[in-house]
Amino acid sequence: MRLRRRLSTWRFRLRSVLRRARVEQELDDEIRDHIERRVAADVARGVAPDQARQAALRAFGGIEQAKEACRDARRVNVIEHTVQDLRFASRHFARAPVVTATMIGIFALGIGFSTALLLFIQSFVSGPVPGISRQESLVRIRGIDRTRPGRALGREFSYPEYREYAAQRALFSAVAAWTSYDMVFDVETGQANPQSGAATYVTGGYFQVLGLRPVLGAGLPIEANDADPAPPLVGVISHALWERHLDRSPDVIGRTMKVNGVIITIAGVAPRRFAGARTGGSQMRVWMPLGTRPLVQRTTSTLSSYDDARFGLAARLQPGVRAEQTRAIVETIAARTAQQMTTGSTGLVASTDVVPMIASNYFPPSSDNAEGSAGRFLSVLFPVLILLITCTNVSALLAGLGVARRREIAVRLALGAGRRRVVRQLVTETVMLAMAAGALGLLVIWLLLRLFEANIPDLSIAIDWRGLAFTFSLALVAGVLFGLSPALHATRLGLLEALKDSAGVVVARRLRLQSALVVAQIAFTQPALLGMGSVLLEMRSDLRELPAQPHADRILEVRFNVNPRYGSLDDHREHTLVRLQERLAAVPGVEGVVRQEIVDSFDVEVHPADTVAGLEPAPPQQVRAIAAPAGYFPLMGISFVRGRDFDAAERSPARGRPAGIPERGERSGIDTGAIVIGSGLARRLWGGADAIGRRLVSVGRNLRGVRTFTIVGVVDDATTDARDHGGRHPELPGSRRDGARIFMPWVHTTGHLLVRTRGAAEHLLPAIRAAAVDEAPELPIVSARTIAAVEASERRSVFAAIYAAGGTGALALLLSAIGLYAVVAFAVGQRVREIGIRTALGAGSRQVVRLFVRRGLSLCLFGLVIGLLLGIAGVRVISAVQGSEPPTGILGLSVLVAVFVIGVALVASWIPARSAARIDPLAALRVE
Amino acid sequence: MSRPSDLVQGTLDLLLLKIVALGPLHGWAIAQRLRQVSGDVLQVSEGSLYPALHKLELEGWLTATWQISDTGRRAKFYALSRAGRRALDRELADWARLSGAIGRVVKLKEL
Repeated sequence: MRLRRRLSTWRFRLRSVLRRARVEQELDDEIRDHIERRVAADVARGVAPDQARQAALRAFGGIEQAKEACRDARRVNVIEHTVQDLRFASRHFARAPVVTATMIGIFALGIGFSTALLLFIQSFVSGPVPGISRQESLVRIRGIDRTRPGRALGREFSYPEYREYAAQRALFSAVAAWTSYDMVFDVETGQANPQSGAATYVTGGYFQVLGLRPVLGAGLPIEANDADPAPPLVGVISHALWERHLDRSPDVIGRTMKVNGVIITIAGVAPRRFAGARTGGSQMRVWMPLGTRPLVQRTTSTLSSYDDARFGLAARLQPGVRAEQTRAIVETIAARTAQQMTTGSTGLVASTDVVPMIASNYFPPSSDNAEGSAGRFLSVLFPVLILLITCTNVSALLAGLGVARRREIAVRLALGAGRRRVVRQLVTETVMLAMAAGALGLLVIWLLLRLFEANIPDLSIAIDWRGLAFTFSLALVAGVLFGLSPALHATRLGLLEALKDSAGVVVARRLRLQSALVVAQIAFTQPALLGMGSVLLEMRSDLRELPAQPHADRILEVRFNVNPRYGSLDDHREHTLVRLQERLAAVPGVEGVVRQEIVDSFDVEVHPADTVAGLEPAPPQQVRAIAAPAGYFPLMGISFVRGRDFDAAERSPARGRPAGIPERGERSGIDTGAIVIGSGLARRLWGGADAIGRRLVSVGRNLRGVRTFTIVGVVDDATTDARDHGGRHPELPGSRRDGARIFMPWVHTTGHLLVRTRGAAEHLLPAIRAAAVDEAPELPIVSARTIAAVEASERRSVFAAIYAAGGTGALALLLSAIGLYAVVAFAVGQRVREIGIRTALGAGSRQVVRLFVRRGLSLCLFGLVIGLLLGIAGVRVISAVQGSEPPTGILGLSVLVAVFVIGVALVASWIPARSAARIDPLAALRVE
Repeated sequence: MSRPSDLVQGTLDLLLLKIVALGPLHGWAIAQRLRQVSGDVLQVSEGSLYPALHKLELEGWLTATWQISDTGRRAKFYALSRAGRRALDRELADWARLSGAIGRVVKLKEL
C-alpha cells in the first residue's frame, strides 16, 4: 500500500517536471479562478470592481510567493533548482574564463599530483605482488636472522626446514617453496639466440598456493616428487617472456625451448604481470619443478642438507587460522632447525614469522626501530601537503570571485531567496568546479603514472581501484569544502553593507581570510621544498660516491651464472672459471681479465698500539672490503702511493681450505691479515704518517670475532673508482653506500669477470661471448656490459627520483606563487578607488607599486618564518627518529629556499601592483 | 508563506479532508464552506490554502480533476481518494484523542 502511494507520488512529481509548462498553466488558472470568484463575491456585496480586485490580490498575499509555495509543496523544486543552479553557474564561470580556467587547472594539478603520488607510495609500500590479487589466506613464511641484536636480517630456508613447515597441516593447508637462479634461455627459432633470464624451481602446487592459473596450458604437475631422479622437463613461462620472445603465439604449449642448454617443454603461460612471489627479479622467467634443478642448473646441492638455505616460502592458512596464531609453532621449528645446521652456525639465532603476502615484504624490516614508519609517514605527508596547498589556493581564488558577487548575493537575499537557496547555488558552483577539475585530474593522474612506470623499471604500479577512488574523492571533497567557506561567508553579509561596497569591516575580514590562506600556503610550501631538497642532497652525496670510472668504456663486466648468492659451489666450477679467465685473456684486444666481488661491510678502528703520537685517535670508521685478486690493481688502473700489492702468500688460502669456499656462516675472506687501503682513509686515520705496517682492528658485531688487519699498501684515492661489482641492484635513492674502501687479497668465487680491453669494449663483445660459450658452455653468460653502461643505468634511477622530488617542490612553489598573486591582485581590486585618489593627488606610480609590493612581501615573510620553522623542526625530528644525521647543507638549503620564495613573492606582488599603478585615476574614481 | 495562525497547527489538513469528503469542490468553494460551517471562526488565507491543497494532492489523499464549473470556466476540483479516506479516519481519531485530553485538563476544578 505504501509502495503504491510512493509510486503515485513519483508519478505526480514526474509529471510536474516533464509537463512543466502545462502544470504551470494549471496553477496559474487555478489561482486566477480563485481571484475571479472572490472579486465576483465582493462586487455582489457592493464593493467597487477595481477595489475588489485589489483587495483580492492583497488577500492572496503575493501571487508569486503563493505560487512558489505551491511549487514547494509539490516538492519538485529540487530538480528544477538544480538545473537552474547549473545554468547559472556555467554562465557565471563563462563570464570570467581566465580565472575559471586557472582554478580548474590548479585544482586538477593538485588533485592529480597528490593522488598519483599517494597511489605510487601505496603500491610501493603495501601493494600486492604483481599478478597476484590480494588474498587473506595467502601468507609468506619469512626467515629471520636475529644474531645481531637490534637488527633483524632476512634468511632463507633449507629444504628440510621447508618440509617441517609443510607438515603443519593444522596451520597451513599447503606450503610451497621456490628458489631462483640466473639462467640463459633460447626459444629456438632456428638460429641460436641466447637470452638472459631467471629460472625458478618450485615445489608441487606452487601456483595453486599463490592462487594463480596459467592463462594458457595446464601448468606444472601439482603432485611432484622434488627429489625425482627423472623429473618431467616442463616449464611455465612468464607472460612477459611469451610476449617478447614468442609473439604471444597461441600454440606455444608443447613447444620446446632451451634453458641453460637443456630442452624444456612449455606447459603453460603465467598470468600477466606475474614474475615471481618476490619482486625485483627478471621478468623473463621460467618456472620448473624442483626436481629439474640438478640437471638444468648443474648444481650438486642436495635437498637433504639443513645448511643449504636458499628457499623462499609461501603458504595458505587453513580456514579460520590467523597469521598470528602460527607464530609460536613456526618459531619453535626455526629454533630447532638452527640446531640442525652442522657447519659454522654457532651463534645463529633463527626465527620465523608469518605475514600476509605483499610486494615489499619478502624480507623483514631490517631494524626494530621506527625508521620504516617514519619514512612512510613522510612520504604520505608530501602529497597531503600538496593537496592542502592546492585547496587553499583554490579557496583563495574563489574567495576573490565570491567577494565580487556579494552585491548580487545580497540583492538575491533581499528579494526573498532563502539563504539555503543561495547557499545551494554556491555549492553547485563549487561542485561543478570540482567535477571539471576532477575530470582533468584523472588525466593528470594517468599521465603521471605512465611517467612513473616508464622511469622506474623495477616498480609496477598496481592500480588499486579502491584506493584510487578513495583518494580521488577525498581530494574532491576537500576541494569542495575549501571552496565553500568563502562562498558561505558571502551570504552572511548584510544588504546595506554589500550595496555600499565600502572598504569597511566586511572587506577587511575577507581580505584577512585570504591573506591568512596565502600565509598558510607559503608556510606549507616550505616543508615541502625543504623535504625535497634534503632528498636531493642525500642523492647528491650518493652520486658523489659513484665517480666515473676512468676508462669506463674499456672495461667489460661479464657475469656468469654461478649463483653467487648462497656461497655454494664446486671445485669444478672454480676450475672452470679459471679456465675462462685464461681463455678470455687470450682474445685479441683484451689486455687483462680479473675476478671481483665485494666482500663485506664492517667497522674498524686503529689498533691501540699503532696510533700516531700527537694525533687524536679517529673514531671507528665503516669500511667496505673489496676483493683484489691478482692483477686487479693494474687492470683497474689503480696506482700505489705507498707499499705494495698483495703477494702470492697473502693470496693463497688460509687454514688449508681451497680458495673460494667459505665456511657456512663465515663471512668470506675476512680472516686474512693483509689489506690495502686508500690514501684518504690513511690520511684520516694517521695524518701524514706512514700507514704501512700499522694495524686496524674490527669493532662491533658485524664480524664474528675480532680481526686484525695489517696494511701492506696504500693506493691513490683518485684512481680507485670505488665501484663495487657485487651484483647489487640499483637500489632506490636514499639508501646509503657507506664506508671507505679497503682491498683484500682473497676472492670468494663469483661469476663476475672484469675484462680490460685495448679499444672500446663494445666492439669486442661478440668475440668475448663466443670465446666464453666455446670454453665453458655450461656457465651461461648472465650479462655483459661495459662499466659505462652499468653506471649509466644506476644514474638513471637516481635521476628519476631527483626529477620526481624536484617536480613536486616546483609544483608546490608554483601553486603558492599563484595564490600570492591572487591575493595581491584582489587587494588591488579592492582599493582601486583609493589608488585613483592617491594618483590624482600626485602619488607617483612607484609609490603605489611599493605599497602593494610591501603588502605582498610582508605576507610572504610571515609565511616564510612559520614555514621555515616547521620545515627545520621536521627535518630534525626525522633525523632523530631515523638515527641519522640531517644531510649536510640543510641550513644552507633552508636559506636558499627562503631566498627563492621571496623572489617568487616579489614577482607575484609586483605584477598586479604595476597594473594598479597604471590605473587611470578618473576611471578608478568612477568605480562604484 | 504565512502560517495559519488562526488554526491549530496540523489541523488544516484534517479540515480540508473533511470538507472535501462531503463532495468534490474547488479551492474557493472549500474556503467558503469552511467559513460558513464554522461561523466565520475558521478562516484560511489563500496563501496557506493552495499550498496545503497541493500537498494533499502530492500525498495522494486528494485527486484533482478539471471540470467546467458553475461560472462556465474550468476549475480544478479536489475529491477525496481512497487513501485520503483512510487518512481522514486516522486524523479524526487523532483529533478526538487530542481534544479529549485537552478537555479533561481544562475541566479540572480550580480550588
